[in-house]
Amino acid sequence: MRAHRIRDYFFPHKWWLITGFVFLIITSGIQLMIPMVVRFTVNNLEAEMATSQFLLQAGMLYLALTGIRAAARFAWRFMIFGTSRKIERNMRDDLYEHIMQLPVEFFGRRRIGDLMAISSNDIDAVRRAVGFGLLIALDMLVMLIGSIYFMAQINPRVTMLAILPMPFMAILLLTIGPRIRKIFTQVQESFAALTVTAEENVTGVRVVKAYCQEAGEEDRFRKSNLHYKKMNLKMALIDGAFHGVMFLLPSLSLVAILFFGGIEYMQGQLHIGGFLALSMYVRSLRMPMQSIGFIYRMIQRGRVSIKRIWDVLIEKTDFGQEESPGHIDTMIEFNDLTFSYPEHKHIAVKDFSLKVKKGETVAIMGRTGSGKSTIINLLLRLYDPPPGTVSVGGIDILDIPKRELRALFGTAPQEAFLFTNSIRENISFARSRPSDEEIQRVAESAHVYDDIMDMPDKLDTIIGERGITLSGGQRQRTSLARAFLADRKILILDDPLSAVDTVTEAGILRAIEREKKNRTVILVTNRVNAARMADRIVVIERGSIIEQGTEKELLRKNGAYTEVYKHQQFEVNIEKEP
Amino acid sequence: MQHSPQQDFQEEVLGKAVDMKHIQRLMRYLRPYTTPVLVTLFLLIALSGLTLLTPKIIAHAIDTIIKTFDATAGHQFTEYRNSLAKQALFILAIFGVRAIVTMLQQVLLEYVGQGIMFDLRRDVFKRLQELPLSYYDRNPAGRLITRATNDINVINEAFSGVLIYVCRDMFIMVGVLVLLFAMNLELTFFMLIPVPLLVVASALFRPISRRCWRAVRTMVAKTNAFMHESFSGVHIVKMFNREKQLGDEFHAINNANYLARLKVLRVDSLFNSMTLILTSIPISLLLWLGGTRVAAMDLSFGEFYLYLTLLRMLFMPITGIAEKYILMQSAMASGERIFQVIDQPDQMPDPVKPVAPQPFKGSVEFRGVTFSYDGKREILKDVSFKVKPGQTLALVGNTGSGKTTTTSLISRFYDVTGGQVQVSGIDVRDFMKSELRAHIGIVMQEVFIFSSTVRDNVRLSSTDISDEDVWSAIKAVGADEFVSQLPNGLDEVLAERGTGLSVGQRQLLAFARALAHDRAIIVLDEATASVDTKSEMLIQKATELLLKNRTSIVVAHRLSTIKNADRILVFKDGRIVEEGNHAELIAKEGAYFKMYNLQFAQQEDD
Repeated sequence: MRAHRIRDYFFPHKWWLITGFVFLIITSGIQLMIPMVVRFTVNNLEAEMATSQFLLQAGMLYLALTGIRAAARFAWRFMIFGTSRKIERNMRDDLYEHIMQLPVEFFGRRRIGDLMAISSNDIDAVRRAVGFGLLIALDMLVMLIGSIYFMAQINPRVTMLAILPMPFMAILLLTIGPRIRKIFTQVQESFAALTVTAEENVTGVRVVKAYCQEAGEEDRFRKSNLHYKKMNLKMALIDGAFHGVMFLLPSLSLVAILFFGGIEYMQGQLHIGGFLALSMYVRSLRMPMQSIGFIYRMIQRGRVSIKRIWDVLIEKTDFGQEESPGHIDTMIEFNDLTFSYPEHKHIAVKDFSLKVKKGETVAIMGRTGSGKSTIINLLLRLYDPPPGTVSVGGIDILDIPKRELRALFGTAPQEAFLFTNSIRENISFARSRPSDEEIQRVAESAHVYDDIMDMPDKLDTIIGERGITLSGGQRQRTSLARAFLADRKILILDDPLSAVDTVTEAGILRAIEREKKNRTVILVTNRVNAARMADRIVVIERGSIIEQGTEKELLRKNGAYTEVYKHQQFEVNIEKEP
Repeated sequence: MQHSPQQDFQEEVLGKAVDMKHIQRLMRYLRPYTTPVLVTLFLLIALSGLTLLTPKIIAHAIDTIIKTFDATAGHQFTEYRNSLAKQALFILAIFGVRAIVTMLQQVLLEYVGQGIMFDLRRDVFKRLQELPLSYYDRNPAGRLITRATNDINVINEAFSGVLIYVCRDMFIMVGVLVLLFAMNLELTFFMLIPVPLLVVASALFRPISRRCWRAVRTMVAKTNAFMHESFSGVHIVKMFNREKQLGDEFHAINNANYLARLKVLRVDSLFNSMTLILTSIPISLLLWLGGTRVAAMDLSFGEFYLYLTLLRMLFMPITGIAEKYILMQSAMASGERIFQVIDQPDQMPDPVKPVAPQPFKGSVEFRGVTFSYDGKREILKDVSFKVKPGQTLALVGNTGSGKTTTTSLISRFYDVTGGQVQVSGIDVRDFMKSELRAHIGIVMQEVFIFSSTVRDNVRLSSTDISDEDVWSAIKAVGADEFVSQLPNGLDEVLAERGTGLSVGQRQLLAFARALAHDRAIIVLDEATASVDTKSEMLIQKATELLLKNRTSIVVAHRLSTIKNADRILVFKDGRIVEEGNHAELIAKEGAYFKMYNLQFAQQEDD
């Protein structure tokens, strides 16, 4: 079950964290005792009471304490950092699983880069904030209070004067800190701009070279480069000044100890051991003070990140409580469907009504943007249609669990997305472990088998960024093979021929002819050649059906289909003349 | 934070931490900044001196003022207090100077660092502009982008975050050692006993740590790559109900990532604790042996204090050494990759004595051209043809038959393996590449749209193309309808890679781009992606307009384009198997005829 609060991730590990924290306190406690050991030793020396036996013991004590400290340090690092890594892993597991179950509509709203940042940077920030920031902050507090306590034990007056600069440091950090952060953000923004410039140049290299834009591009890059440099220098100037002051303030404490501690000593109020110990403590004060800003930022960052992660985790998943209807027939019905995408205003599909009988093949034709792909998206419930408008097997698809609904369809979508994986894995994506014969059969049907056999590792060739790159047509045909192999009751082909040449097209059409037997098929296409193999052709424009019927009927109507038909036939007719 | 996750899953090779070859190269970039670097080094030496001076003064004050004062011996308290105040003020002044010098040094360092980065970036980018397309084919885009951005930042981090401070630490260490030995040779000698142990320990630890870190980087890259791909392909995952399976795969990768992290944590923590123990040995020796000497009056309390403080300074640089080491390693690796780009030889340099035809005639000729991308598989075999000025040549054939490759050779995007390509009667290798390409307009199959205004997408950075030219080109190709509907017209900033524009609209913009640049030769690779009938008609008209009166070489998919061509070349497996005009080729009843019939076979069946 998914955690309901971020803290639920930490709660199961509380004993590890608490034990780790105890070890952290032990580590700090020993560190706080060390100046006292020095003080005791030196005071004894001053009193001329230190035998060489005593001094050897003091040295051994020091070494033993450090040994314990080193062990405790190892323990706390392992417990706290190790546990926070485990929590990080669990959070990322859950987040990934959750994101993958979110509706497609969510991916329309959020950029992938953004989701990547949440699953890597933000989870990292939470881990740091809690596993590091919070616990270290507690530890720093212990160190701060402990040091001041022991200093006061040695000499309260000198201590008072020595810690005087501390509040000023805190004030400075909290007032100047945010301003520096703002400049830092600007630096990062200018870096992002620089990256975009480089990215466009590299991805658009063909245009750049074709139009001899190299000089112009260099100039564009030079500007981004210069801006980035300037922002960095501005940052350095302010940061440098800030650090100068931050260095100066704690140094005042050391001066105070020399002067006031010296006076106290000369007046007999302080031993030399105490003087030495004070100078050691004042150093351990500096650390917590200097980390205030750092830790504060870390925790702030973590809080922002928790919110960003949380915003994703509270998104409703794709899968609701619909009850399984059991057997589902494959007739499809659209009933007065009107739909617009959540992120857009204009209506994508309007008053769309269509019945597809079981075993029927329907071709949907129309211009780009006429709503063809939207109909497919709604049918698969990648987006939810309004209630009562789309049904499969007589059941409103909103009442069918999405997994069961989608299990009815084998789809070759318009954009043939393939994974960086072997061809085999890609084709058999929808089914676990099909035999090589099956893969060969569908690859042959989709006319991609010969291409695959030409590749270095045949079916095991890795494609994508780190493997070989497929052409648009090869991608499309692989995607088609994937849909064929899925072997589902309903076959959906969204513009499956857009990137294949004429010879291959004919072959694929024959394969579709075979595949459509015993199946309900919806074929989205722009080509008359493909459309005419359907039992029925539906022409849509601006989201509505303007014509439907068999090809003969439509040609008799002399409407939109006839126009497209003539246009595509035009060239053939001219040909017949000579 | 400056790493985009996609760029993370790249070759993660950690090289040596110090590689003289790369350091020497980087030194060359340092040269323009010799003075500020020397000043910085001088300031660092001064700072190190000042850093050591403070404890020395305190030690001196302890011995000569604090410990010497003896009220019973009739010492004047005010006198001692005043001289103590003087010492305190002196130290205060030193701190003030240190603060200012630190600031100066930091700013100066940043000035140098940023300057070098600017220069490096400029050079990498310039080189990238000069390198031929074949280089881009071999290297994924993400990798090249990283060279000009993140890789250089890593070097900066190593330079201003590690290298300079290592210098400072060395100065301080030397200073500390001198002071320590000056105080008491024998005692100091004993205290340095753990140093060889430290050296041995870190020599043992380093390779293990390096291996563990490498595993972590690989796993992080894998995790990110897996997530990125799942998110990009979420449609497919949902269509085929594969959420669960991918989830399981992800858990395995994510867990391996966790285990790699734990290993690093274990190794680093162990080293950390070991260092802690080793560095504390000198202090315990100080308490014992130093104490013995104090008791024997061989060592003063001030000197004891000085030991206490200096020993801490001596071992301070050791903390965080692992992080510094790793940073240096990645900087060296980045340096190597950057110089690989900068040093990449241009395999297609401009000729020493370039020829510029006067006047430019615009003919194109292939003479027995063979070509191979990889030196193994021949893409073009003995291709010869000639296009006269103003003629249109259509290239047809199956995918992979060599049509697009042929067009790439005209602009000399690649060099032929054998034979010769001539433009205007001159071998393309005798042109300046920029001169050659200034005569050729290209429309590619996949239109690239810059995230810039419509205007800049048409005219690119050619400022000699006026707004009127841009607009008339847009109008001529029929793109005016949609451009004028954009809220800002010509000034509308198009989204990254042209998302938001339809395929047809993008093509029309590419036509406008080619038309506005008005070149004598046009190379057109027709898109196969199907568009709606209306866009199709606009594109057809624009094609005719663009090809008119220009020498054109078209990879043709539209029958209308093919038929309007003066000549058609039919490609098969890198060879020209047929040529002639449409009517001639049909009459031949050869490959062209067959292909032509196949496309319309079913219509004829009816």
